[in-house]
Amino acid sequence: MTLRKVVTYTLLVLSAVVMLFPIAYAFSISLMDGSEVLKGNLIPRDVTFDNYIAAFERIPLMTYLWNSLVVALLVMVGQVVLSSLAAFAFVFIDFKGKGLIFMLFLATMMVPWEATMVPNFLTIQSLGWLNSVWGLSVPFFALAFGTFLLRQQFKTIPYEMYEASQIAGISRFRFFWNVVLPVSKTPLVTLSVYSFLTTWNMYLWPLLVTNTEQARTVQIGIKQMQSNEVASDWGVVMAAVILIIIPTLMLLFAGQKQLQEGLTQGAIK
Amino acid sequence: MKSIQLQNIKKSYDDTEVIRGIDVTIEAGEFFALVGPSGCGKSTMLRMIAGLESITSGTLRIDGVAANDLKPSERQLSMVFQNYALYPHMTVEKNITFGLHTKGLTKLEQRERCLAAAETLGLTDYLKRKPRELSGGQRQRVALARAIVTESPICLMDEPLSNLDAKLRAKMRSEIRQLQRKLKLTMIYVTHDQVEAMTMADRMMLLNDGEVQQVGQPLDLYNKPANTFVASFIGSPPMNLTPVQRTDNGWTASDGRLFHPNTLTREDTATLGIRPEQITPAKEDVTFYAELKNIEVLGTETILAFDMGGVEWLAKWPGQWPLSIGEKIACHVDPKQISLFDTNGNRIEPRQPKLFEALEVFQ
Repeated sequence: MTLRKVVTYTLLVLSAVVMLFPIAYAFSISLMDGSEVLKGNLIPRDVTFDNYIAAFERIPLMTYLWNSLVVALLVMVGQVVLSSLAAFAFVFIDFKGKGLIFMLFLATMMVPWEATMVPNFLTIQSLGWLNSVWGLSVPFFALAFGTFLLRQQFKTIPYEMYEASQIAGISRFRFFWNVVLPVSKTPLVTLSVYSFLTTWNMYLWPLLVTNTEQARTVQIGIKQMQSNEVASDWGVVMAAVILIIIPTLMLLFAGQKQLQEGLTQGAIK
Repeated sequence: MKSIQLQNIKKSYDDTEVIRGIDVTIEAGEFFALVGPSGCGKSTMLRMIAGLESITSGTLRIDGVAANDLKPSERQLSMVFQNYALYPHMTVEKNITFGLHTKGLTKLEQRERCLAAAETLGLTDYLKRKPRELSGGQRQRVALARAIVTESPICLMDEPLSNLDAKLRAKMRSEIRQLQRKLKLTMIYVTHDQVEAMTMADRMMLLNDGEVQQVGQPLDLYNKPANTFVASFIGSPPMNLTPVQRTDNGWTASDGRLFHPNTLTREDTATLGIRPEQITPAKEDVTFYAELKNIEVLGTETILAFDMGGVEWLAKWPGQWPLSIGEKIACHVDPKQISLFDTNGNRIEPRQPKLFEALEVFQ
């Protein structure tokens, strides 16, 4: 029994080290000056914060961070609102072809997002939304995964609660707002965190629809920083990387428990 | 107070008919029980009255007005669900008042009504709690409070006591009955438990397989079951039934035991029914002898099991009888208490019913 534990924990520690190494190394590089990076040191001899200052000076990092934050929050709100309303309709409202429409919803999950990129781009372009937060966020509002996740949750709400509210004369929206949403906090948090993180880390789409510094998001900024100069100053790049990981880490720590509960809901009982 | 009228109400799902034409009028202020085995359509019936289920054909009238197409909230009724359907994230007070705003009540009036309902049901100390912090019986009371706080003249209940233990159930039975009388509610109460229906209802309707078996006062169903289904559903233990043949001097079971029921009929074969408590120990006039197969001494009464023409019969004798299995007992049955059912299972009315009814009054 103890031997097994020793083996398990050894493996776990090893995996943790492997997983964390890139982040730890990036953090360590961000504190070195250029010559030390090139020597291949693992740990900085002289800790310096110059790279962080340089990161803000060399590219408009604040603008990028702000853009990313606005876009991620917009997508998060959009996805949660649309998914929860759609899921409510799928669970509590009777209409013809409900099963078929839900199947279609799920079928869209099987279409890779990249395949829809060209039509999406043309739509955004003709709407004149290039280089705007709308172009970056609106195409992601409808999310089949979110609808599915919330539908599964809403289905666990006893239908009698809905019927009781019908008899009491409570409107559908009020029932949705005052009963369904409060009892579904966990999956709503899960979905919010998921939305925020995926949007924050998005690269390809922002690259397509933005070409000005005012509109770009952080992920593009990093890439730009790395490729703009002939010889990358890795210390500065890593400093910027560490800076943009911070919001996602904060979100993860805050929502970790809810996230686990939400993603395994229904799987274990 | 509102009356409810059902006129040839039917319900089908696709091609399966689950309610096959129900006609009944529930009087204003009446406690009406809908009884039947599970799957008989009693809950569907209730949900159609509530407006949660559409009516396939027929007319539902509430206080004389056709209500088929009214929304649930427009039918002036409240409903208590089997699983209570409380809102888990709201306090008891919020649970009771949620929805009152639709009646145009101010916050103050809502609170007053809530306090009054809580007072009636003994919930005053629990108003700030969440449903999960309450016991089963208290949750049940919250569900009741939520129904009465609306002051709707009609109250529907769908097996409200089935999640409670036996002791609490008996207590809530009388509480619900008193509440209904006090508030003069027209109550429709669905249950599969015939004891609940017998003890609470002014009138009851027994359903089986979507068809009405009998409607009437509980004692009518008990004393004069319209058919063998009613006879075997009502009463605990149920009525003893056995097939009999007409002979020259009476009716005989397949094992040759002879009965003289007070009924005239042209039929040659029939089903004979006697309630267990109507089989009494014989003093002189022995109706039949029986060999005991089983004995259950319950303190106040003794249940005796024996064979009657291939069917197990039960007799319920008051008191404690020191008998043993295999012993022979002499039984007496009053002929006028014997029921006869024809080959279709329908009751054959006894001869001179009026005279016997008159005699029953004197007894």
